[in-house]
Amino acid sequence: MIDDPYRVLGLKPGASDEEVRKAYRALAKKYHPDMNPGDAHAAEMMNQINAAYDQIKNPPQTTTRPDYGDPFAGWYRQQQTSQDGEPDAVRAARSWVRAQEFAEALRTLETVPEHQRTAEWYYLAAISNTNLGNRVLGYEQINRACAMDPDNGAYRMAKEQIESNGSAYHRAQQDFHFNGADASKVCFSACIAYNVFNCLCRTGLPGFYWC
Amino acid sequence: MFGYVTADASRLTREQAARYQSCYCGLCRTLRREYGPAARFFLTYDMTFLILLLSSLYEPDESAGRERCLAHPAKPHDWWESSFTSYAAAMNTALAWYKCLDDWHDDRNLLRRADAALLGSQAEKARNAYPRVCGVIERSLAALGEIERSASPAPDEGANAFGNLMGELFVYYPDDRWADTLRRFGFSLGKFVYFLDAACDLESDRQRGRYNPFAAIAPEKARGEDFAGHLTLLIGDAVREFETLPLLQDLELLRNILYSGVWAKYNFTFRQAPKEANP
Repeated sequence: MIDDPYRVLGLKPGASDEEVRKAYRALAKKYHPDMNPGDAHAAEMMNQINAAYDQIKNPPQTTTRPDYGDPFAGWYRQQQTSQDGEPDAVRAARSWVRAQEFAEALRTLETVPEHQRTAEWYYLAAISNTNLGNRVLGYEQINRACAMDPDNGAYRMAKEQIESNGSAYHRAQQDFHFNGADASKVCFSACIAYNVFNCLCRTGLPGFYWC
Repeated sequence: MFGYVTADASRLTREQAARYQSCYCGLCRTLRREYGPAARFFLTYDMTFLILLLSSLYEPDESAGRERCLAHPAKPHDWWESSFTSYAAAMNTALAWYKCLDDWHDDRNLLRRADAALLGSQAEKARNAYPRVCGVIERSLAALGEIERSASPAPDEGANAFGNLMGELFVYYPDDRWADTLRRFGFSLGKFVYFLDAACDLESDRQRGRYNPFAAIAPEKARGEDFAGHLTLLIGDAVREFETLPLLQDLELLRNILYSGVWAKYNFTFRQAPKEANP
């Protein structure tokens, strides 16, 4: 942790995003190891510049808003207590999730027959799938958990967590004044002769499309 | 990528549009020069995004000029190229070849076989130039083919395979400090594109009984436009990585593509669709 990452980049605290990018690029050019072969001071400076940039771009997370990629590590432990009458598999899956063994958690959850799957089951499956990179299935499952038990704060929090990058994207879209495009207006002049061939090449895979 | 990762022309300044168009012209020129006239038949705008992003991050030397070409004989066009244009031309050629090969195997489509033969030796050249990336592409496409053929019920599986392919595409220097960020960016962008394509095709895939990754989670009545939330998560993941890169050059143009252009086909598809009456 650097006390004042902005100072390392020669900036005042709270400098704009553009200033940070500019300062970082200028310093990285100056101290890059390719420009300073064998120079230990330059190498140390480069490390500091990199660390400062990373710290500004990804501020250290608090436990209430943990980083995506390890989204539930911080607060999960505090929340959960076993519920009465829940299947042993769900209880076991909760332990696996707590231990961050998400593949194990899913294997355990799979043993619960479909008609016995509660909101808690979907919640644990959502956390596990999200952590394993199965974003779409994880999103489906957390929505299901929230629909089954709308008053549960932990489920709502997990949903917010899973949606956080998408919410940030929407905010940035507003800030940059982008509100979605319409293909009928966005066509660039693609070379017509090639268009014909590209159309032929379309199949079920993400294909060669032209608007 | 394949036709989805394109700019929203209605929101570009004149300078941005010129920069974008001339990057595309540079790619077309490079394809002709390095991979022969046939390779240009498979030219895509998506590769323009790859060139712009890598050029912005690494700021290589660019050469530029103006010329008339066969497709636009009347009006001379500006072009610019960097070392990444050459890379994008190789990837464009390799991907076109893999895809035609795949189509031919799937459908026994003779036209595709002719295309593949046309491209084969050129794709070989691209593969020799970039063996690491092409190796990942081949393995990912093989995995994807298997997943689609077996109609995997896990919705993310195919998208993850396609994401791996796209992730590697953005990694030009594997030992660079930004390699992992680029790979994660490409992975999420690839997932987004895969599901975007699936959302746009959901209806027609159902009718033809074809595999669609949303089918496993979509109730009978669900339509492609119901998945905007899912798609936003994925592009959100990609853009989060994108915004950590120290980019300055062409940043507004790149943002135009990621925040607006990528939705063009989706918005177009679902605006045209007739609205069903409420029950």
